Amino acid sequence: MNEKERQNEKGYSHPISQAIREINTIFFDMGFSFADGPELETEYYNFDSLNVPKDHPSRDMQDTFWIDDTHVMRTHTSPVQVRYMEHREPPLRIIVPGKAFRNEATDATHEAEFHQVEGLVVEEGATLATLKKTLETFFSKFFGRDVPIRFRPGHFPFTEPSVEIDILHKSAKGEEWLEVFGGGMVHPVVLKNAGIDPEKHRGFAFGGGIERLLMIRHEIDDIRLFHSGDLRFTTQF
Amino acid sequence: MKISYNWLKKYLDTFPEPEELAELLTFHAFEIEGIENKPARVGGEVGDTVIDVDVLPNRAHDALSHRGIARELATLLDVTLKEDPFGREAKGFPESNTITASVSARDLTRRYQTLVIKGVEVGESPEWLKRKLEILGQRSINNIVDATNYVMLDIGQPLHAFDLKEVGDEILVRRAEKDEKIVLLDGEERILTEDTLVIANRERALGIAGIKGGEYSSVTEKTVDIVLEAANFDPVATRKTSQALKLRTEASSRFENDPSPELTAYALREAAELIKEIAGGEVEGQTDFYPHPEENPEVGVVVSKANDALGTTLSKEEIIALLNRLGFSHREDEGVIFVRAPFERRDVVIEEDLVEEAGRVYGYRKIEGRTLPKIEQKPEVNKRFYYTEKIRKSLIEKGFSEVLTPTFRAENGDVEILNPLASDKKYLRKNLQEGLEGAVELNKKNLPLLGLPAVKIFEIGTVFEKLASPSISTDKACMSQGGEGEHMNLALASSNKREIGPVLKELEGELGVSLGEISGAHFEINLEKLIKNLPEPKLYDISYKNDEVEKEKKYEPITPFPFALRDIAFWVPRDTDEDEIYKLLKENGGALLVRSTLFDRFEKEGRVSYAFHLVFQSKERTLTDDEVNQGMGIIEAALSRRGFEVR
Repeated sequence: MNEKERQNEKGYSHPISQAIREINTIFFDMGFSFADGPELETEYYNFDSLNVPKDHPSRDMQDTFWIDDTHVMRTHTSPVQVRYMEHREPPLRIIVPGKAFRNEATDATHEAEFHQVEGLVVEEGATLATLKKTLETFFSKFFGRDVPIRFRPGHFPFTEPSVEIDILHKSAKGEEWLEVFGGGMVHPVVLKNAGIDPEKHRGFAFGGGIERLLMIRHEIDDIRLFHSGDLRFTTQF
Repeated sequence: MKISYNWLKKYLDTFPEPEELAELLTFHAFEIEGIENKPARVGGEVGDTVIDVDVLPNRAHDALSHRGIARELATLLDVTLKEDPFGREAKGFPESNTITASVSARDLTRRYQTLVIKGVEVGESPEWLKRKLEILGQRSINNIVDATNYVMLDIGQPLHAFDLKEVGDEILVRRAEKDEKIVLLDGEERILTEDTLVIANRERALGIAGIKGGEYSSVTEKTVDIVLEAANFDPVATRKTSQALKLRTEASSRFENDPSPELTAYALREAAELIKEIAGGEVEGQTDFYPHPEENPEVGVVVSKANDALGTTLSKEEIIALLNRLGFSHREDEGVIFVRAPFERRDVVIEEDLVEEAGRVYGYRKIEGRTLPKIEQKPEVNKRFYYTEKIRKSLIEKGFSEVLTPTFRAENGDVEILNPLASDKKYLRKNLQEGLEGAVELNKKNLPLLGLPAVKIFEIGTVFEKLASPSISTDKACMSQGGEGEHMNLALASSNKREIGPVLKELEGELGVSLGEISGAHFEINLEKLIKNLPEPKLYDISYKNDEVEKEKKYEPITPFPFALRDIAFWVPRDTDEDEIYKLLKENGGALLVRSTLFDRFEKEGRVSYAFHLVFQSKERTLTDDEVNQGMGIIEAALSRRGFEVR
């Protein structure tokens, strides 16, 4: 954009909104609905329903913001999986872009509040193979080029098997594999908690940080810029 | 966990180079944090490679050890272990006549086993042992302590050695008394609570169970008889104590991951054998508190289910072969493959666990991506998203920019965080106003740099009001984003208060609703309520004009150095191309001219007057007046040369 165009008085969309818009467009074309849920969650939806053990370290005060004995600031967008499934029957395809919170010291790569996008598919065709292709399609469209991805073993309480998802990133510095998402086949306990019979249905789920995707795509060096309210940042996109 | 490449040779005959081995683990088991070369040294010390393996949480109970990683590699290389300490059953030792162990905290102690060895000679460890520990960053203490550490790193069971003379004839596993004190091996005194599990003799606490031993009763050169302890403590209690004391040790990080209680007997046998070899002595006898031995469950997997989840077409034979490579024996019954994992693997409990095991050994990399089948039904259009997008688009077209400001506030909130990150982040925001006002102030200073006449910003975000009730309400049928007491707001703010009214008037027209009273430099409304009353959207029909995202755009870091603002005005002939003027300014302003903003243009007597704000800034330093003047001089000279009259 040149100086002249810049002065046409049009405002700027925040890069996170831009990214959510892109994400929704890409997934809408693949048949996914946009779902959302509360940021201040119950312990039940944020942890219990997702098969996170009662004494799991992620529930600790140093990881999660607690409001009272039973409410937390959601630590991921995954609670919406259960909330959504509770009121619907498969087949289901959703994405859940939204804000999440972690009680951790902030620095250039860590923020106490950030955005995630969650994805959930519950239907006959849900396998690790279709998860792979779905994400390949997403990342390729999001980055505007063919993005190879790879799965590695991972562990999350709400998926089994679980995988870590890397993308091959190309920059001026060369090629490197970057871990961006986590995912896997929805754990039978999660389906059951949401009122879906795990004997009859299966699903895959995935999720990751939106800031991280933007930081990779635009070489942004500090995650804190996203919530800074600083137009010197926003107007660059 | 740091793994010595040479150590693994004890278990495997042939295996690949460290890099290749790291790759195998990465794609079939665990991530590798780093690979470090430890060169050979004069004096015969051999070189080694240390591989830092990031063991996954569900495997930390069995794989935080060299044997555990070797077992994993044997699976991945499809070979058998050359030697396996778990292959020889550990039957235990005769009952001790010297000491008894009394466990009163039975709820926190799954197994408590001790072994008395008499007549040891405490001294320096042999070089090979010292070297092995040193390579992994562990300090050599003496041959007894080193032997216990070696066994822990080898098979994953933490051990502790006491001086029998200081222990006496009874060892107690009990909760600490209130404010009971103990001096630990690091010389620091700790004050304990009743939640802390301690190992004690009749007089005093000798160590914090599962975490660290005490100074008193530690093994020294004077020690002749020792008591080795191998135990299994409640994982959660161990973690909580370790957190409370801010003391995380090799032992606690293993106990908190729920290792098998079966391990203790193997660890004592291994340690006794090693001690005999390097410190002499004779085993006297053991104590063993182990009230509830448990066997791993038998788990069944159906071939079709495994393939359905993995997206593969593996045969029954192939799946059995994959599971056998893990060292899992199997039986078949009516098409179901039944497996019982060996005692040290406590993570194989349901069918999906077996699917994961088979899948990762097979290799997730080999899974071919496949497109999800087309589905009949159209995706739902999310009403909240639809209208926030519509409003965003409208405001942006009217010159307002979107910002995000923090959810956490120092004050003025209805909802308080129990454990805030900082005292100025104690509350959840109940409006967007304060954040936006801060952003107006921040951006006002940078207006010339931004090339904007006024700050005009908006935010769409969640705000929080008092929780309706402290109890859980889990039946939010429609789960509108508003859980208890939260909803989405829209707020606008500007450094020029006249900017807001007209924009909102237009927005009212577009949405066909009233936005209520509009006045001042700030506006905020409950967007949740507003959207509720709008018609259901059928399609995402909002198109962003010219909104092609620049995917290749690279962010330019914001420089912390101040900018300098100068104005310039000049006459140009009427037929001058405006683009040429911008080009001229840019070319002659150089790297330090970061923005030129036209703020006045008029025509008179066949000539056009242009006036620009010129903004100078360096990424490396604060510019001096001289530097800026020099920059202006170059620009003025260039304009004059082109025949433009600088005013």
